[in-house]
Amino acid sequence: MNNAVREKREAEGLSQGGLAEAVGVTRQTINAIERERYDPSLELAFALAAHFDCRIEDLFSPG
Amino acid sequence: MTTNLTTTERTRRRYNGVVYGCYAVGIAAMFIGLTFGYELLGSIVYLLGIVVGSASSLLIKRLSSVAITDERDKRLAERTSFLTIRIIVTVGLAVFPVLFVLDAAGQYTFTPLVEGVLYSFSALGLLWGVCYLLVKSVL
Repeated sequence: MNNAVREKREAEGLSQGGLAEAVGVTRQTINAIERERYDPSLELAFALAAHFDCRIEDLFSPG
Repeated sequence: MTTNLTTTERTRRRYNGVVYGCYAVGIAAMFIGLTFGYELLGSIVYLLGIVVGSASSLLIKRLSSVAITDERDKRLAERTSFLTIRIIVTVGLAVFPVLFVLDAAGQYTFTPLVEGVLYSFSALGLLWGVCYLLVKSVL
């Protein structure tokens, strides 16, 4: 799964730890998502989309 | 490389330190006890370490807003368990029937060690089956 999490996070000036705290996961999980080594659950995908105030499709796309 | 840790990350690391620290103390005590002839004491400290570590993990999960693990840790554990059982089943299915045939043909004799491995694999497979049914009943 391709994603734009890093771009969105950096545009907000957030650290991985800050984003992790905001959506309730570990920094390692955010890092793994950004490196596209881990596909988040629907729940986390929704939480990330809500945090960035965008649609899930704007964050994730089939790889 | 400098990493700015958030308060949550620091708390998570502290919690992990407590839980894994208890396990580490227990395991170290066991080996020290074995090495220096204090087997009973080592075993007691080992048991305490594992119990206190597990209890701490449960308490943290229930009482703290900071989770030690998250969904990725859970997925890692699931995949690791799946890979482990797959290796055991593959090795078991490939090796043990051959050993039974060779044993029947008088070309091989099961040693106590191999028998122990066979029983352990079988017990693990049985436990996996029971756990599978339990999980399936709620999923």
